[in-house]
This record gives sequence, C-alpha cells and structure tokens, in this order.
Amino acid sequence: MINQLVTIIVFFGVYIISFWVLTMFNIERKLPKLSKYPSITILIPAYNEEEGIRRTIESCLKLDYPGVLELLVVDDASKDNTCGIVKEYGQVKLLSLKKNRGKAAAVNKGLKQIKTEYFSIVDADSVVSSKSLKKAMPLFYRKDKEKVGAVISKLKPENEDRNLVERTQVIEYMIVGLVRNLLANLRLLHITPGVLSIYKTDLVKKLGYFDENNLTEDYEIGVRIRKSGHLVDFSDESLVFTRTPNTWRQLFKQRIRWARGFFQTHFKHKDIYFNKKHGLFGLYEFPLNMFSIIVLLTAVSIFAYNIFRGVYEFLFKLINTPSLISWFEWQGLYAALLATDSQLLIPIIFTVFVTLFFVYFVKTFYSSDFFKKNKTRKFLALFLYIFIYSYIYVYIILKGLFMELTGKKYDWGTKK
Amino acid sequence: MIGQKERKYIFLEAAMVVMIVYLLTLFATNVLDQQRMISLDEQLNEQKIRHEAFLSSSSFFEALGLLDCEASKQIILDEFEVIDDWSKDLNIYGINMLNRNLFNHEIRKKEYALIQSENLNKALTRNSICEEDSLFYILYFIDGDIFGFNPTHLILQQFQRTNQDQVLLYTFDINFYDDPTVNFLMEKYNVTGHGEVYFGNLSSKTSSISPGKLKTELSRLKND
Repeated sequence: MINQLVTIIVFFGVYIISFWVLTMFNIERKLPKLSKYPSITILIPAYNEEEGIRRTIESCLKLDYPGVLELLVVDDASKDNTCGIVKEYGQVKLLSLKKNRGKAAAVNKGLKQIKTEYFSIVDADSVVSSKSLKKAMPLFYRKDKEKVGAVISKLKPENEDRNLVERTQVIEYMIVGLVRNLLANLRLLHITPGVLSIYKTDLVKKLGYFDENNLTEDYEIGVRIRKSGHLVDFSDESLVFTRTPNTWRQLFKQRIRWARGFFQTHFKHKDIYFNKKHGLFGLYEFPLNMFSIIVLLTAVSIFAYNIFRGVYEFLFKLINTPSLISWFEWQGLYAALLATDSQLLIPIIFTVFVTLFFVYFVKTFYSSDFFKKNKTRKFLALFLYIFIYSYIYVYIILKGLFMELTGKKYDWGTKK
Repeated sequence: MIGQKERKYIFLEAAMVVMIVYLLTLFATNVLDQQRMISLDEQLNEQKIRHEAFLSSSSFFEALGLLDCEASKQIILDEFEVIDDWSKDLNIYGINMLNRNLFNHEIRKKEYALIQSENLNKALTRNSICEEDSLFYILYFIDGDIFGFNPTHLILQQFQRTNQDQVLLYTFDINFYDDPTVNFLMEKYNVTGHGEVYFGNLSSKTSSISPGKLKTELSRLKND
C-alpha cells in the first residue's frame, strides 16, 4: 500500500517538475512601453515602526516614477515615535488610527481614502528599489488585453548573511521568486505578498477590501483577484528588500502564521477546487497547493517511519543479536546492485529530477552576488534548505493546521 | 506570459518525459530481476552438485558398512552454511524485486525448502548412527508472506551462529503445505501457524514466545 502510494506521489512529482523545467525554457517577456504612467499611491501600514520607517519612506521618495505618486502612512495606534518621524516628511500623508486593529484593517482604512488608479502596499520595514514601480506598471497593460488585477515584485531579504537562519531564507526567497515567475507565465499565480504588490484600486474595493479576519490577507486577496477572473503577474525587475526573521523562533512564528493563513484561505475558498469556471487555476494550481502539502506530509511520514524502524531494528540487533550485524562489507558493484531494492528506483528517479532542478537553480544563481562571499557558509545554507528545511516545514504546517482547527488566537507579539 | 497553445504543448511534453522515464525504469528493474534470478540459479546449481557428491560418497560408505561421524558432520555443517548463505540472497532478492509474486521466485523458495529437507535428512540419519555426537536441530515455521522485522528469527539465528558447530536452524514456509516434505513436517509436529519453533532433539515446541523468553529457553538448552 505504502509502495503504491510512493509510486503515485513520485509520478506526480516528476510530472510537475518536468512541467516547470520545460516552462523555464519557454519564458519570454517583452514589456510594453507606456507613453503615460497611471497614478498610484504607496500605502505604508505601520505599528511601532520607529526603527525602520524612515528608511522605507526615503526609499519610496526616491522612486523613479513618471506618473502621479502619493505616499500614505497608516499608523495603527503605534506606541512609539512612528508618527513623529512620518510628520517630518511633509509630502507624506499620515492617517493615525486611534485603536490598534491589525494590518488588514489599517490598510482598509487607508484604502478608503485613496483616489489614485492603483495602489501598492509597502511594509514599514522594507526598502524599495528606485526603478521598481516603473518596471512593474507596464505589466498591467498587456498587448493580449488579458485583465491583470495585481502585479507583484521580486523580494529579497535585506539581512542575508549574519547567521544560518538568514542565509537559508535567502535561498528560499530565490526559489520562491523563480517559482512565482513560472506561475505568472502560466497564468497560475495567485499570491500577492504584502510588500510592493500593486493593485487596481477599484478592483480591490469592488472585491470587498482586504479580509480583516485572515492572518495572511495578502494571500487571500490574491486568491479573490484570481477568482474574479483577473490575473496576477510577476515583475522580475521590480525589486524590494524586506527584513526577515533572524532567529529560528521568529522564523517559526512567522511561518506558522503563514501556514494558518494558507489554511484559512483554502477553507474559505474551497469552492474553487476543481471548478472549471476558474480554468487551470481551479483545476490545477489551487488544488496543487493543498496536494503539495499532503505529499510533503506523506513523504516525511514515510521517511520518518523508515528511520525509526531502522534505528529500532539496529538497536535490537546490537543488544540481542550482535553477531548478525554486518558492518559495511563491499562485495562489488554487481552484488550491491542486486541487493538494491527495486522499489527505491522510483524515488531515486524523483531525487535525480529534483537534483537536476536544483543544479539548474544553483548554476543560475551561483554567479549571483549572494554566493560571492562566504561560499562555504552559503553552501551549507543551500544544503540545509534542500535536505532538511522540508522536514522543518512539516512541523510548521502541522502546527499551523492544528492551531487553525482549534481556533487558537494568534499572538502578534510586540515588535523588537 | 506563455501562450495557451504553448502551455498545452508543455503539458504533453512533460507527460511524455514522465512516460519515458517510467518505461526506462521498468525496463531496468526487469533486467535487474532477471540478473537476480540468474545469480540464485548459479548458486543453486552449485549446491545441487555438492548434494549429488554427498549422495555418491554416502552410497559408497554404506556399501562398505562405514560412516565417518566426524567427516559427515563437517559435510552437513558446510552444506548448511552454503544453504544459509543462499537463503539470505533469496530473501533479499525476494524483498527487493518489483514483482514478488514472480512464478520463478516461488519455485526457488520451494527448492530452498527441498534442499533444507535434504540437509535435515542427512542430519537425522547421522544422529541415528552417531548418537554421542548428535547435531542439534531447530525447525522454525513461518508464513513467507509476512515481511518485516522478525525478532524470533533473529534470536534463533544468533543462537545458531554462536553454536554453529553443533546447531542447525531450518526455516520452513507454511504456505508450501502442498510440498510433500513441508506437509509431512507440519503434520508431524502439528504446526498450525506462523512463528512456531520446534526443538528437534528435545521433541518440544513453542509458539508465540517473546524474544526474551526465547533467549532464556535457548540458554537452558545450551547448558543442558
């Protein structure tokens, strides 16, 4: 039974990876040239952001954007000097809320005041590159007239080399960027991260603003945008730097929140599953997200079971039947081949495919700036990500699912 | 973005890649299974020749009215070691093959039962003549369709390994009840299910015994 399950899982895994690798070789992006750039508001929700908001505002003010650009900071009842810092910039509008109600509520309050054609949310601890908006906006004006509801940017961790946690996240963000690029090209992207994602203002208002009860309102609005028949596109050239957790504890807390938000969104929009009305998004991509989780949990369970069983058997032999333990004896390649489990051939193929994918990835990114310094530590991070991170993620997913099913209230904590 | 038409082609190309990979894997697995069969056959043929040689020498000794207890003991123990090694390969290959129900593999397991019976027969014949230097034999009956960790079998193997100049351990698959020898043994010792252990010389049987208790029993036998 387990072997049949492994065969099915590997079949789908090989298919999906083949599909994505083939897609990679078919990507061509020609950006349309805009004669006139539309109006846009950068909305910065902030809560106790006195440490980083100055940098964020200054990077937004340095944006090279030919159209009308407005800045609006929504202060979610900060207890520190966030408002005082914002007021130093006369060209930045400030909306101060009296009661702290969370990011989504703050964004919705600000959104009600926005009159520009587009708006973008930038976290108060992020830094945008000067050309990001100019590179991203043309994607809304496609030559094939397909409706684009949102365009997301390429994220890079700002803190990347202080410890293993940060280096691992750099690898992760690289892969995520690659995957989002692929998904966008296939018209399957449905996530709009909360950092420099650009939205059509009227569309979001028409869809009912952001969900204030969702822990990942940025993911949830992306799904609603896709559900309404609009696309979400990805700008490879629009770059934004964001702060990432630099301890395992912070990372786990963040990822558990993301996991909870993922399940919240999927439970809320379960009508999308296998619904032909939503095309490939409903038939393939949205269910694939959940299927990938199931595959990961199954694979890790099987792996963990085999490990524990192997350890138990070894300990039993060590204690009770020591003479039966055959330590490594090389009897030749032919004998080793005959003694190999045929049923491992299928997972081996899958591993080869995944390895090829990562070799391509490593080759592509090896020349990037990230790998130029501290190569040994960076490759250790790469090794950790490829071979161990998935298993850490299982814990995160299970905990997120458990907390969501038990309705445990999320503790946003205090900013440090 | 990739066009709708190109996307369809990519779906088809990916499916073709997967089909090719799976077909190649099945082919490679089939080749590997065939090689395992060939390897087992070669070992079995060697054992058959050895058995023929023993029969020939036994007939010769019987004709002269002699039996060298020491020499025959060594022949039986050597033959047992060869059979034991062959059975390890048989088990490993049987678990590792993609299709465990291959007809040829079943035949080989029956051949294993047969050559074990031949070795047991030699041991019993020798024991009836060389009473002062009897070989101790244990019969272990298992269900060959049950795979996985078997603590009882391991402890029996450990006992045989540490007393290999005196103890013989024979493992019979109760699913081969249609084989005359296996059927005979099952009926003689009233074997009804998986995991029954018969201590030959003592004419005693045990089943559903924990590994700890089995170890104690074997230690007692050793001291006796």
